Amino acid sequence: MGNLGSLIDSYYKSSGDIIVSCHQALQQLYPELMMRWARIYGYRWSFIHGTIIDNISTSLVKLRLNNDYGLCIDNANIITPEQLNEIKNTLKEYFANDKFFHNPDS
Amino acid sequence: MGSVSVKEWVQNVIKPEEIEKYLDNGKDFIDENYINETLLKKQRPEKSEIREIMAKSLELQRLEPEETAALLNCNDEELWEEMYAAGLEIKIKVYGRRIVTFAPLYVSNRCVNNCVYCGFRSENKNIHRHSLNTEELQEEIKALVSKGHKRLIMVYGEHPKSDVNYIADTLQTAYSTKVDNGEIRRVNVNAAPLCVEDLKVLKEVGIGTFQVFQETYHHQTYKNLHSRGPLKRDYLWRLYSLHRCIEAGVDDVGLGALFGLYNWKFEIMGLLLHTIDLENKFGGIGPHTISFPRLQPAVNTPWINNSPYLVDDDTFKKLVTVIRLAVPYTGMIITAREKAEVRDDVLQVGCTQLDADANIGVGSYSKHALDYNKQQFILGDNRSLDEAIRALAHMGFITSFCTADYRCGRTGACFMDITKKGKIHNLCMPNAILTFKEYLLDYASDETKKVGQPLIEMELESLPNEGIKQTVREMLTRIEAGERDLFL
Repeated sequence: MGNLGSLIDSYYKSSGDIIVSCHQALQQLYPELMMRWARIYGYRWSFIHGTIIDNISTSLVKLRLNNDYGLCIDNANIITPEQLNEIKNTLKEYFANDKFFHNPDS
Repeated sequence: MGSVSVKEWVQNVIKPEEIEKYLDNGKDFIDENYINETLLKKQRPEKSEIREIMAKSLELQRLEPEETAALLNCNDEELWEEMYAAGLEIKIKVYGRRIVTFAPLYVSNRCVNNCVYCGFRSENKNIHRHSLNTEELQEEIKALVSKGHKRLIMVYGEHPKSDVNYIADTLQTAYSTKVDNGEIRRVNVNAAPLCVEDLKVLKEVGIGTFQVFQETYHHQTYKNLHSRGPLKRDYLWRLYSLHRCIEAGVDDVGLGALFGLYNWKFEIMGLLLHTIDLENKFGGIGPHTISFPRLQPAVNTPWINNSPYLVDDDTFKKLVTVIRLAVPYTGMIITAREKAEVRDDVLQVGCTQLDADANIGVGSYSKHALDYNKQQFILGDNRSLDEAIRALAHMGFITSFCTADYRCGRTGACFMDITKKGKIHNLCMPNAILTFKEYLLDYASDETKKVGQPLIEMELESLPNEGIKQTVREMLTRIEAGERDLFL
Protein backbone atom coordinates (compact mmCIF):
# COMPACT_ATOMS: atom_id res chain seq x y z
CA MET A 1 0.00 0.00 0.00
CA GLY A 2 3.07 2.19 -0.16
CA ASN A 3 3.71 5.39 1.66
CA LEU A 4 0.06 6.25 2.29
CA GLY A 5 -0.56 2.85 3.87
CA SER A 6 2.39 3.08 6.26
CA LEU A 7 1.40 6.59 7.29
CA ILE A 8 -2.16 5.44 8.02
CA ASP A 9 -0.79 2.53 10.10
CA SER A 10 1.45 4.85 12.02
CA TYR A 11 -1.31 7.36 12.79
CA TYR A 12 -3.71 4.56 13.67
CA LYS A 13 -1.32 3.31 16.35
CA SER A 14 -1.61 6.60 18.19
CA SER A 15 -5.21 7.64 17.48
CA GLY A 16 -7.02 4.31 17.22
CA ASP A 17 -9.49 5.95 14.84
CA ILE A 18 -9.24 4.86 11.24
CA ILE A 19 -10.95 7.92 9.74
CA VAL A 20 -8.84 10.39 11.67
CA SER A 21 -5.74 8.39 10.75
CA CYS A 22 -6.56 8.34 7.04
CA HIS A 23 -7.26 12.06 7.15
CA GLN A 24 -3.98 12.84 8.89
CA ALA A 25 -1.99 10.62 6.54
CA LEU A 26 -3.51 12.25 3.46
CA GLN A 27 -2.94 15.69 4.93
CA GLN A 28 0.69 14.89 5.48
CA LEU A 29 1.13 13.75 1.89
CA TYR A 30 -1.10 16.40 0.30
CA PRO A 31 -1.39 19.37 2.71
CA GLU A 32 -3.61 21.36 0.33
CA LEU A 33 -6.18 18.63 -0.17
CA MET A 34 -9.64 19.56 1.15
CA MET A 35 -11.35 16.42 2.42
CA ARG A 36 -14.64 15.62 4.11
CA TRP A 37 -15.46 12.19 5.49
CA ALA A 38 -19.05 11.07 5.48
CA ARG A 39 -21.21 8.24 6.73
CA ILE A 40 -23.48 7.10 3.92
CA TYR A 41 -27.21 6.63 4.53
CA GLY A 42 -28.87 6.12 1.17
CA TYR A 43 -28.67 9.43 -0.66
CA ARG A 44 -27.47 11.17 2.46
CA TRP A 45 -23.73 11.59 3.02
CA SER A 46 -23.62 12.74 6.60
CA PHE A 47 -20.61 14.79 7.69
CA ILE A 48 -18.40 13.11 10.29
CA HIS A 49 -14.93 14.60 10.01
CA GLY A 50 -12.72 16.78 7.92
CA THR A 51 -12.02 20.15 6.44
CA ILE A 52 -14.82 22.64 6.10
CA ILE A 53 -14.10 24.96 3.21
CA ASP A 54 -15.90 28.19 2.51
CA ASN A 55 -15.16 28.47 -1.15
CA ILE A 56 -16.63 26.38 -3.85
CA SER A 57 -14.43 24.03 -5.80
CA THR A 58 -14.95 22.97 -9.37
CA SER A 59 -13.47 19.54 -8.96
CA LEU A 60 -15.47 17.75 -6.31
CA VAL A 61 -14.84 14.02 -6.26
CA LYS A 62 -16.90 11.61 -4.18
CA LEU A 63 -15.24 8.32 -3.33
CA ARG A 64 -17.44 5.57 -1.94
CA LEU A 65 -15.07 3.59 0.27
CA ASN A 66 -17.47 0.85 1.36
CA ASN A 67 -21.21 0.55 1.97
CA ASP A 68 -21.09 2.87 4.95
CA TYR A 69 -18.39 5.46 4.37
CA GLY A 70 -17.35 7.93 1.73
CA LEU A 71 -14.78 10.65 1.16
CA CYS A 72 -15.47 13.94 -0.61
CA ILE A 73 -12.44 15.72 -2.01
CA ASP A 74 -13.30 19.28 -2.89
CA ASN A 75 -10.19 20.06 -4.90
CA ALA A 76 -9.17 16.79 -6.49
CA ASN A 77 -7.68 18.76 -9.39
CA ILE A 78 -4.55 19.52 -7.35
CA ILE A 79 -3.43 15.89 -7.55
CA THR A 80 -2.89 13.69 -10.58
CA PRO A 81 -5.39 11.02 -11.64
CA GLU A 82 -2.76 8.42 -10.67
CA GLN A 83 -2.46 9.87 -7.18
CA LEU A 84 -6.25 9.94 -6.85
CA ASN A 85 -6.39 6.35 -7.95
CA GLU A 86 -3.78 5.34 -5.40
CA ILE A 87 -5.72 7.11 -2.65
CA LYS A 88 -8.92 5.38 -3.68
CA ASN A 89 -7.36 1.92 -3.84
CA THR A 90 -5.48 2.25 -0.56
CA LEU A 91 -8.46 3.62 1.35
CA LYS A 92 -10.75 0.95 -0.04
CA GLU A 93 -8.45 -1.73 1.34
CA TYR A 94 -8.62 -0.21 4.80
CA PHE A 95 -12.35 0.34 4.60
CA ALA A 96 -12.87 -3.27 3.54
CA ASN A 97 -11.23 -4.42 6.76
CA ASP A 98 -13.87 -5.23 9.36
CA LYS A 99 -11.48 -4.79 12.27
CA PHE A 100 -11.74 -1.03 11.92
CA PHE A 101 -15.54 -0.96 11.73
CA HIS A 102 -17.15 -3.06 14.43
CA ASN A 103 -19.94 -0.56 14.84
CA PRO A 104 -20.22 2.18 12.23
CA ASP A 105 -22.24 4.36 14.60
CA SER A 106 -19.76 4.23 17.45
CA MET B 1 -46.87 -3.73 14.42
CA GLY B 2 -48.75 -7.02 14.79
CA SER B 3 -51.45 -7.21 17.44
CA VAL B 4 -50.32 -4.33 19.67
CA SER B 5 -53.30 -2.15 20.53
CA VAL B 6 -53.21 1.62 20.20
CA LYS B 7 -53.34 1.89 23.98
CA GLU B 8 -50.37 -0.43 24.46
CA TRP B 9 -48.39 1.33 21.74
CA VAL B 10 -48.98 4.73 23.27
CA GLN B 11 -47.62 3.57 26.62
CA ASN B 12 -44.22 2.74 25.14
CA VAL B 13 -43.53 5.81 23.01
CA ILE B 14 -42.22 8.33 25.54
CA LYS B 15 -38.85 7.65 27.18
CA PRO B 16 -38.54 9.97 30.20
CA GLU B 17 -34.77 9.43 30.43
CA GLU B 18 -34.43 10.98 26.94
CA ILE B 19 -35.97 14.18 28.27
CA GLU B 20 -34.33 14.44 31.67
CA LYS B 21 -30.78 14.32 30.33
CA TYR B 22 -31.31 17.61 28.50
CA LEU B 23 -32.88 19.59 31.33
CA ASP B 24 -30.76 22.21 33.08
CA ASN B 25 -31.17 21.84 36.85
CA GLY B 26 -34.42 20.08 36.18
CA LYS B 27 -35.80 22.94 34.08
CA ASP B 28 -36.42 23.32 30.38
CA PHE B 29 -35.04 26.24 28.36
CA ILE B 30 -38.35 28.07 27.98
CA ASP B 31 -38.12 30.39 30.97
CA GLU B 32 -41.41 32.24 30.74
CA ASN B 33 -40.55 34.83 33.36
CA TYR B 34 -37.38 35.67 31.50
CA ILE B 35 -39.24 35.93 28.17
CA ASN B 36 -41.93 38.17 29.62
CA GLU B 37 -39.48 40.35 31.53
CA THR B 38 -37.27 40.74 28.47
CA LEU B 39 -40.21 41.73 26.29
CA LEU B 40 -41.25 44.21 28.97
CA LYS B 41 -37.76 45.58 29.44
CA LYS B 42 -37.42 46.29 25.74
CA GLN B 43 -40.88 47.76 25.35
CA ARG B 44 -39.75 51.10 23.88
CA PRO B 45 -36.57 50.57 21.91
CA GLU B 46 -34.69 53.60 20.59
CA LYS B 47 -34.30 54.05 16.85
CA SER B 48 -30.53 53.87 17.20
CA GLU B 49 -30.77 50.59 19.09
CA ILE B 50 -32.92 49.01 16.36
CA ARG B 51 -30.44 50.11 13.74
CA GLU B 52 -27.51 48.71 15.73
CA ILE B 53 -29.29 45.40 16.04
CA MET B 54 -30.00 45.37 12.30
CA ALA B 55 -26.31 45.98 11.66
CA LYS B 56 -25.47 42.96 13.79
CA SER B 57 -27.91 40.81 11.80
CA LEU B 58 -26.40 42.05 8.57
CA GLU B 59 -23.07 40.75 9.85
CA LEU B 60 -24.85 37.38 10.06
CA GLN B 61 -24.61 37.12 13.82
CA ARG B 62 -27.42 35.49 15.71
CA LEU B 63 -29.26 37.92 17.95
CA GLU B 64 -29.63 37.62 21.70
CA PRO B 65 -33.09 37.48 23.28
CA GLU B 66 -32.92 41.13 24.43
CA GLU B 67 -32.09 42.30 20.92
CA THR B 68 -34.86 40.22 19.45
CA ALA B 69 -37.31 41.59 22.01
CA ALA B 70 -36.35 45.12 20.96
CA LEU B 71 -37.15 44.34 17.32
CA LEU B 72 -40.44 42.73 18.28
CA ASN B 73 -41.48 45.87 20.14
CA CYS B 74 -40.61 48.32 17.39
CA ASN B 75 -43.57 50.57 16.62
CA ASP B 76 -41.94 52.74 14.00
CA GLU B 77 -43.22 51.81 10.51
CA GLU B 78 -40.26 53.53 8.89
CA LEU B 79 -37.92 51.28 10.83
CA TRP B 80 -39.97 48.26 9.87
CA GLU B 81 -39.41 49.17 6.22
CA GLU B 82 -35.68 49.19 6.94
CA MET B 83 -35.98 45.83 8.67
CA TYR B 84 -37.83 44.34 5.67
CA ALA B 85 -35.01 45.50 3.41
CA ALA B 86 -32.40 44.14 5.82
CA GLY B 87 -34.21 40.78 5.86
CA LEU B 88 -33.94 40.44 2.10
CA GLU B 89 -30.35 41.64 2.10
CA ILE B 90 -29.40 39.00 4.68
CA LYS B 91 -31.17 36.29 2.73
CA ILE B 92 -29.34 37.20 -0.47
CA LYS B 93 -26.04 37.53 1.36
CA VAL B 94 -26.35 34.02 2.81
CA TYR B 95 -28.26 32.05 0.16
CA GLY B 96 -28.26 34.19 -2.98
CA ARG B 97 -31.39 34.83 -5.05
CA ARG B 98 -32.47 31.23 -5.03
CA ILE B 99 -35.62 29.77 -3.54
CA VAL B 100 -35.63 26.07 -2.78
CA THR B 101 -38.89 24.45 -3.84
CA PHE B 102 -40.45 21.26 -2.54
CA ALA B 103 -43.79 19.47 -2.23
CA PRO B 104 -45.56 18.29 0.91
CA LEU B 105 -46.74 14.70 0.78
CA TYR B 106 -49.23 13.63 3.42
CA VAL B 107 -48.71 9.90 3.83
CA SER B 108 -50.96 9.05 6.76
CA ASN B 109 -53.62 11.09 8.54
CA ARG B 110 -54.38 8.67 11.34
CA CYS B 111 -53.61 10.28 14.67
CA VAL B 112 -54.03 9.32 18.32
CA ASN B 113 -53.87 12.95 19.44
CA ASN B 114 -56.69 15.37 19.73
CA CYS B 115 -55.36 18.90 19.20
CA VAL B 116 -58.32 21.24 19.15
CA TYR B 117 -56.99 23.29 16.22
CA CYS B 118 -56.12 20.36 13.95
CA GLY B 119 -58.30 18.77 11.29
CA PHE B 120 -56.61 15.41 11.91
CA ARG B 121 -57.53 15.30 15.63
CA SER B 122 -58.84 11.89 16.62
CA GLU B 123 -62.31 13.13 17.52
CA ASN B 124 -62.88 14.73 14.10
CA LYS B 125 -65.18 12.20 12.49
CA ASN B 126 -65.53 14.25 9.29
CA ILE B 127 -62.03 13.31 8.14
CA HIS B 128 -61.46 10.23 5.98
CA ARG B 129 -58.57 8.33 7.59
CA HIS B 130 -56.04 6.63 5.43
CA SER B 131 -52.41 5.49 5.40
CA LEU B 132 -50.94 5.04 1.93
CA ASN B 133 -49.82 1.53 1.02
CA THR B 134 -46.73 0.98 -1.12
CA GLU B 135 -48.58 1.02 -4.45
CA GLU B 136 -50.54 4.13 -3.55
CA LEU B 137 -47.38 5.87 -2.39
CA GLN B 138 -45.61 4.98 -5.62
CA GLU B 139 -48.48 6.55 -7.56
CA GLU B 140 -48.18 9.71 -5.47
CA ILE B 141 -44.42 9.86 -6.00
CA LYS B 142 -44.83 9.33 -9.75
CA ALA B 143 -47.35 12.15 -9.88
CA LEU B 144 -44.97 14.48 -8.04
CA VAL B 145 -41.88 13.49 -9.99
CA SER B 146 -43.80 14.00 -13.24
CA LYS B 147 -44.39 17.61 -12.25
CA GLY B 148 -40.66 18.13 -11.71
CA HIS B 149 -40.33 17.83 -7.95
CA LYS B 150 -37.04 16.59 -6.49
CA ARG B 151 -37.59 17.36 -2.82
CA LEU B 152 -40.40 16.29 -0.52
CA ILE B 153 -41.56 16.82 3.01
CA MET B 154 -43.45 13.68 3.96
CA VAL B 155 -46.01 14.17 6.72
CA TYR B 156 -47.38 11.60 9.16
CA GLY B 157 -49.91 11.65 11.96
CA GLU B 158 -48.94 10.00 15.24
CA HIS B 159 -50.36 6.51 15.23
CA PRO B 160 -49.11 2.92 15.47
CA LYS B 161 -50.08 2.44 11.83
CA SER B 162 -47.58 5.14 10.90
CA ASP B 163 -44.83 4.17 13.35
CA VAL B 164 -41.11 4.49 12.62
CA ASN B 165 -40.99 1.30 10.53
CA TYR B 166 -43.82 2.58 8.37
CA ILE B 167 -42.05 5.93 7.98
CA ALA B 168 -38.77 4.20 7.05
CA ASP B 169 -40.51 1.95 4.50
CA THR B 170 -42.25 4.90 2.89
CA LEU B 171 -39.00 6.87 2.68
CA GLN B 172 -37.36 3.97 0.88
CA THR B 173 -40.28 3.76 -1.51
CA ALA B 174 -40.03 7.48 -2.21
CA TYR B 175 -36.32 7.26 -3.00
CA SER B 176 -36.65 4.20 -5.21
CA THR B 177 -39.56 5.34 -7.39
CA LYS B 178 -38.31 6.90 -10.64
CA VAL B 179 -40.00 8.30 -13.73
CA ASP B 180 -37.80 8.87 -16.83
CA ASN B 181 -35.20 11.50 -15.82
CA GLY B 182 -37.08 12.25 -12.65
CA GLU B 183 -36.57 11.08 -9.09
CA ILE B 184 -36.93 12.31 -5.54
CA ARG B 185 -33.48 13.20 -4.23
CA ARG B 186 -34.24 14.46 -0.75
CA VAL B 187 -37.05 13.48 1.59
CA ASN B 188 -37.58 15.55 4.70
CA VAL B 189 -39.98 14.31 7.34
CA ASN B 190 -42.56 16.04 9.50
CA ALA B 191 -43.73 13.61 12.14
CA ALA B 192 -44.31 13.24 15.82
CA PRO B 193 -41.38 13.18 18.25
CA LEU B 194 -39.44 9.92 18.23
CA CYS B 195 -36.95 8.30 20.58
CA VAL B 196 -33.25 8.14 19.73
CA GLU B 197 -33.42 4.50 18.69
CA ASP B 198 -36.23 5.21 16.21
CA LEU B 199 -34.47 8.28 14.84
CA LYS B 200 -31.45 6.10 14.05
CA VAL B 201 -33.75 3.98 11.89
CA LEU B 202 -34.68 7.06 9.86
CA LYS B 203 -31.04 8.05 9.60
CA GLU B 204 -30.26 4.66 8.07
CA VAL B 205 -32.73 5.18 5.24
CA GLY B 206 -31.35 8.59 4.29
CA ILE B 207 -33.73 11.10 5.85
CA GLY B 208 -33.11 14.74 4.94
CA THR B 209 -34.34 17.13 7.62
CA PHE B 210 -36.52 16.00 10.51
CA GLN B 211 -39.13 18.59 11.44
CA VAL B 212 -41.08 18.78 14.67
CA PHE B 213 -42.97 21.98 15.42
CA GLN B 214 -43.57 22.83 19.05
CA GLU B 215 -46.90 24.45 18.06
CA THR B 216 -46.75 26.80 21.08
CA TYR B 217 -43.87 27.35 23.49
CA HIS B 218 -46.20 28.66 26.19
CA HIS B 219 -46.53 25.86 28.76
CA GLN B 220 -50.07 26.51 29.96
CA THR B 221 -51.44 27.14 26.48
CA TYR B 222 -49.76 23.96 25.29
CA LYS B 223 -51.36 22.07 28.14
CA ASN B 224 -54.80 23.51 27.44
CA LEU B 225 -54.71 22.75 23.73
CA HIS B 226 -53.32 19.23 24.02
CA SER B 227 -54.85 17.95 27.21
CA ARG B 228 -56.70 15.14 25.46
CA GLY B 229 -53.77 13.92 23.37
CA PRO B 230 -52.24 10.85 25.03
CA LEU B 231 -48.79 11.61 23.59
CA LYS B 232 -48.85 15.19 22.46
CA ARG B 233 -49.84 16.36 25.92
CA ASP B 234 -46.21 15.85 26.95
CA TYR B 235 -44.66 19.28 26.32
CA LEU B 236 -41.11 18.23 27.15
CA TRP B 237 -41.12 15.11 24.98
CA ARG B 238 -41.86 17.41 22.07
CA LEU B 239 -39.55 20.23 23.17
CA TYR B 240 -36.51 17.98 23.18
CA SER B 241 -37.38 15.95 20.10
CA LEU B 242 -34.81 17.75 17.95
CA HIS B 243 -32.13 17.37 20.61
CA ARG B 244 -32.69 13.61 20.37
CA CYS B 245 -32.57 13.91 16.63
CA ILE B 246 -29.09 15.40 16.59
CA GLU B 247 -28.01 12.92 19.25
CA ALA B 248 -29.16 10.13 16.91
CA GLY B 249 -27.06 11.58 14.08
CA VAL B 250 -29.89 13.20 12.14
CA ASP B 251 -28.10 16.52 12.17
CA ASP B 252 -30.42 18.58 9.97
CA VAL B 253 -33.42 19.57 12.07
CA GLY B 254 -36.34 21.89 11.45
CA LEU B 255 -38.20 23.72 14.17
CA GLY B 256 -41.35 25.77 14.05
CA ALA B 257 -44.29 27.27 15.91
CA LEU B 258 -47.92 27.45 14.86
CA PHE B 259 -48.81 31.13 14.97
CA GLY B 260 -52.27 31.87 16.26
CA LEU B 261 -52.22 29.67 19.34
CA TYR B 262 -50.57 32.19 21.64
CA ASN B 263 -48.93 35.63 21.59
CA TRP B 264 -46.74 35.88 18.50
CA LYS B 265 -43.93 37.76 20.25
CA PHE B 266 -43.67 35.06 22.90
CA GLU B 267 -43.50 32.36 20.22
CA ILE B 268 -40.63 34.08 18.45
CA MET B 269 -38.73 34.31 21.72
CA GLY B 270 -39.45 30.59 22.13
CA LEU B 271 -38.06 29.79 18.68
CA LEU B 272 -34.95 31.80 19.49
CA LEU B 273 -34.39 30.10 22.86
CA HIS B 274 -34.87 26.74 21.15
CA THR B 275 -32.21 27.69 18.60
CA ILE B 276 -29.83 28.83 21.33
CA ASP B 277 -30.29 25.66 23.38
CA LEU B 278 -29.58 23.45 20.37
CA GLU B 279 -26.49 25.50 19.48
CA ASN B 280 -25.23 25.39 23.06
CA LYS B 281 -25.72 21.66 23.46
CA PHE B 282 -24.50 20.52 20.05
CA GLY B 283 -21.40 22.54 19.28
CA GLY B 284 -23.12 25.23 17.27
CA ILE B 285 -25.56 23.04 15.32
CA GLY B 286 -28.83 24.95 15.29
CA PRO B 287 -31.93 24.51 13.18
CA HIS B 288 -31.45 23.83 9.48
CA THR B 289 -34.82 25.49 8.95
CA ILE B 290 -37.42 27.42 10.88
CA SER B 291 -41.10 27.27 9.91
CA PHE B 292 -43.83 29.69 10.96
CA PRO B 293 -47.19 28.34 9.84
CA ARG B 294 -50.30 30.32 10.72
CA LEU B 295 -53.53 28.72 11.83
CA GLN B 296 -55.75 28.06 8.82
CA PRO B 297 -59.35 26.85 8.57
CA ALA B 298 -59.92 23.09 8.67
CA VAL B 299 -62.97 20.91 8.20
CA ASN B 300 -65.15 20.73 11.32
CA THR B 301 -62.62 22.65 13.43
CA PRO B 302 -64.41 25.74 14.72
CA TRP B 303 -61.87 26.44 17.50
CA ILE B 304 -59.60 28.10 14.95
CA ASN B 305 -61.99 30.97 14.30
CA ASN B 306 -62.21 31.80 17.99
CA SER B 307 -58.54 31.98 18.88
CA PRO B 308 -57.70 35.40 20.38
CA TYR B 309 -54.17 35.18 19.01
CA LEU B 310 -54.80 35.04 15.26
CA VAL B 311 -52.09 36.90 13.36
CA ASP B 312 -53.03 39.34 10.59
CA ASP B 313 -51.05 39.68 7.36
CA ASP B 314 -49.17 42.78 8.43
CA THR B 315 -48.08 41.22 11.73
CA PHE B 316 -47.18 38.04 9.88
CA LYS B 317 -44.74 39.93 7.67
CA LYS B 318 -43.21 41.46 10.79
CA LEU B 319 -42.78 38.17 12.57
CA VAL B 320 -41.16 36.59 9.53
CA THR B 321 -38.78 39.55 9.35
CA VAL B 322 -37.78 39.27 13.00
CA ILE B 323 -37.04 35.56 12.61
CA ARG B 324 -34.86 36.40 9.59
CA LEU B 325 -32.94 39.02 11.55
CA ALA B 326 -32.69 36.96 14.74
CA VAL B 327 -31.24 33.82 13.10
CA PRO B 328 -29.70 35.17 9.89
CA TYR B 329 -28.14 31.94 8.67
CA THR B 330 -31.10 29.57 8.98
CA GLY B 331 -33.38 28.43 6.18
CA MET B 332 -36.92 29.78 6.44
CA ILE B 333 -39.94 28.01 4.99
CA ILE B 334 -43.12 29.70 3.82
CA THR B 335 -45.79 27.19 2.92
CA ALA B 336 -48.86 27.10 0.71
CA ARG B 337 -51.02 27.55 3.78
CA GLU B 338 -50.60 31.21 2.91
CA LYS B 339 -52.29 32.98 0.02
CA ALA B 340 -50.13 33.64 -3.04
CA GLU B 341 -49.96 37.39 -2.38
CA VAL B 342 -48.86 36.86 1.23
CA ARG B 343 -46.19 34.42 0.11
CA ASP B 344 -44.93 36.78 -2.57
CA ASP B 345 -44.76 39.53 0.04
CA VAL B 346 -42.84 37.61 2.71
CA LEU B 347 -40.43 36.13 0.18
CA GLN B 348 -39.16 39.69 -0.03
CA VAL B 349 -38.18 39.74 3.65
CA GLY B 350 -35.97 36.70 3.69
CA CYS B 351 -37.69 33.34 3.18
CA THR B 352 -35.53 30.71 1.55
CA GLN B 353 -37.88 27.82 0.78
CA LEU B 354 -41.45 27.29 -0.34
CA ASP B 355 -43.70 24.45 -1.32
CA ALA B 356 -45.53 24.59 -4.61
CA ASP B 357 -48.36 22.71 -6.27
CA ALA B 358 -49.20 21.41 -2.83
CA ASN B 359 -52.06 18.99 -2.32
CA ILE B 360 -52.34 17.91 1.28
CA GLY B 361 -55.07 15.31 0.96
CA VAL B 362 -53.74 11.81 1.59
CA GLY B 363 -53.50 10.14 -1.84
CA SER B 364 -54.70 13.23 -3.70
CA TYR B 365 -51.78 13.97 -6.06
CA SER B 366 -52.29 10.91 -8.21
CA LYS B 367 -56.04 11.50 -8.37
CA HIS B 368 -55.66 15.22 -9.10
CA ALA B 369 -58.27 15.66 -6.38
CA LEU B 370 -58.94 18.50 -4.00
CA ASP B 371 -60.61 16.84 -1.02
CA TYR B 372 -60.98 18.94 2.13
CA ASN B 373 -62.14 15.87 4.06
CA LYS B 374 -58.69 14.32 3.75
CA GLN B 375 -56.79 17.46 4.67
CA GLN B 376 -55.35 18.78 7.93
CA PHE B 377 -56.31 22.34 6.95
CA ILE B 378 -57.23 24.34 3.84
CA LEU B 379 -54.50 25.74 1.61
CA GLY B 380 -54.24 29.37 0.56
CA ASP B 381 -52.07 29.01 -2.55
CA ASN B 382 -53.11 26.47 -5.17
CA ARG B 383 -50.77 27.56 -7.98
CA SER B 384 -49.15 24.79 -9.99
CA LEU B 385 -45.40 24.26 -9.69
CA ASP B 386 -44.93 25.77 -13.13
CA GLU B 387 -46.97 28.85 -12.22
CA ALA B 388 -45.15 29.28 -8.90
CA ILE B 389 -41.76 28.98 -10.57
CA ARG B 390 -42.76 31.50 -13.22
CA ALA B 391 -43.98 33.92 -10.55
CA LEU B 392 -40.68 33.54 -8.70
CA ALA B 393 -38.78 34.21 -11.91
CA HIS B 394 -40.80 37.38 -12.50
CA MET B 395 -39.78 38.46 -8.99
CA GLY B 396 -36.13 37.81 -9.84
CA PHE B 397 -35.80 34.61 -7.81
CA ILE B 398 -34.40 31.45 -9.35
CA THR B 399 -36.02 28.18 -8.27
CA SER B 400 -33.66 25.59 -6.90
CA PHE B 401 -34.19 21.85 -6.59
CA CYS B 402 -30.67 21.47 -5.21
CA THR B 403 -29.96 18.53 -2.93
CA ALA B 404 -26.18 18.66 -3.23
CA ASP B 405 -25.21 19.52 0.32
CA TYR B 406 -26.58 16.48 1.99
CA ARG B 407 -25.19 14.26 -0.73
CA CYS B 408 -21.68 15.70 -0.34
CA GLY B 409 -21.22 15.47 3.40
CA ARG B 410 -22.17 19.10 3.94
CA THR B 411 -24.59 18.38 6.77
CA GLY B 412 -24.90 19.36 10.43
CA ALA B 413 -21.80 21.13 11.76
CA CYS B 414 -20.26 21.39 8.29
CA PHE B 415 -23.36 23.00 6.76
CA MET B 416 -23.80 25.32 9.75
CA ASP B 417 -20.20 26.45 9.61
CA ILE B 418 -20.38 27.42 5.93
CA THR B 419 -23.80 29.00 6.34
CA LYS B 420 -22.90 31.04 9.42
CA LYS B 421 -20.02 32.55 7.50
CA GLY B 422 -22.47 33.54 4.77
CA LYS B 423 -20.66 31.42 2.18
CA ILE B 424 -23.30 28.86 1.31
CA HIS B 425 -24.52 31.01 -1.59
CA ASN B 426 -21.27 30.07 -3.36
CA LEU B 427 -22.74 26.59 -3.60
CA CYS B 428 -26.42 27.46 -3.70
CA MET B 429 -26.38 29.63 -6.78
CA PRO B 430 -24.46 27.33 -9.17
CA ASN B 431 -26.55 24.37 -8.01
CA ALA B 432 -29.75 26.38 -8.38
CA ILE B 433 -28.80 27.21 -11.97
CA LEU B 434 -28.08 23.56 -12.75
CA THR B 435 -31.26 22.16 -11.22
CA PHE B 436 -33.38 24.94 -12.70
CA LYS B 437 -31.98 24.09 -16.14
CA GLU B 438 -33.06 20.48 -15.65
CA TYR B 439 -36.55 21.67 -14.75
CA LEU B 440 -36.82 23.93 -17.77
CA LEU B 441 -35.76 21.14 -20.13
CA ASP B 442 -37.86 18.38 -18.63
CA TYR B 443 -41.02 19.93 -17.21
CA ALA B 444 -41.51 23.64 -17.85
CA SER B 445 -44.23 25.20 -20.00
CA ASP B 446 -43.12 27.36 -22.92
CA GLU B 447 -44.16 30.42 -20.97
CA THR B 448 -41.92 29.49 -18.04
CA LYS B 449 -39.03 28.60 -20.33
CA LYS B 450 -39.31 32.05 -21.84
CA VAL B 451 -38.85 33.70 -18.44
CA GLY B 452 -36.50 31.07 -17.03
CA GLN B 453 -33.78 30.90 -19.65
CA PRO B 454 -32.84 34.60 -19.44
CA LEU B 455 -32.80 34.24 -15.66
CA ILE B 456 -30.27 31.40 -15.94
CA GLU B 457 -28.09 33.53 -18.19
CA MET B 458 -28.32 36.48 -15.81
CA GLU B 459 -27.47 34.42 -12.73
CA LEU B 460 -24.66 32.67 -14.56
CA GLU B 461 -23.11 36.03 -15.44
CA SER B 462 -23.49 37.13 -11.81
CA LEU B 463 -21.37 34.27 -10.45
CA PRO B 464 -18.34 35.99 -8.98
CA ASN B 465 -15.70 33.40 -9.84
CA GLU B 466 -14.63 32.87 -13.47
CA GLY B 467 -13.58 29.26 -12.85
CA ILE B 468 -16.97 28.38 -11.38
CA LYS B 469 -18.74 30.20 -14.18
CA GLN B 470 -16.85 28.14 -16.75
CA THR B 471 -17.56 24.87 -14.91
CA VAL B 472 -21.27 25.67 -14.66
CA ARG B 473 -21.34 26.57 -18.35
CA GLU B 474 -19.82 23.21 -19.21
CA MET B 475 -22.27 21.41 -16.95
CA LEU B 476 -25.20 23.24 -18.58
CA THR B 477 -24.01 21.99 -21.95
CA ARG B 478 -23.86 18.46 -20.58
CA ILE B 479 -27.40 18.82 -19.19
CA GLU B 480 -28.61 20.03 -22.59
CA ALA B 481 -27.00 16.91 -24.07
CA GLY B 482 -29.05 14.71 -21.74
CA GLU B 483 -27.01 14.28 -18.56
CA ARG B 484 -28.82 14.86 -15.27
CA ASP B 485 -28.08 15.40 -11.60
CA LEU B 486 -24.88 17.41 -12.00
CA PHE B 487 -23.87 19.48 -9.01
CA LEU B 488 -20.98 21.17 -7.23
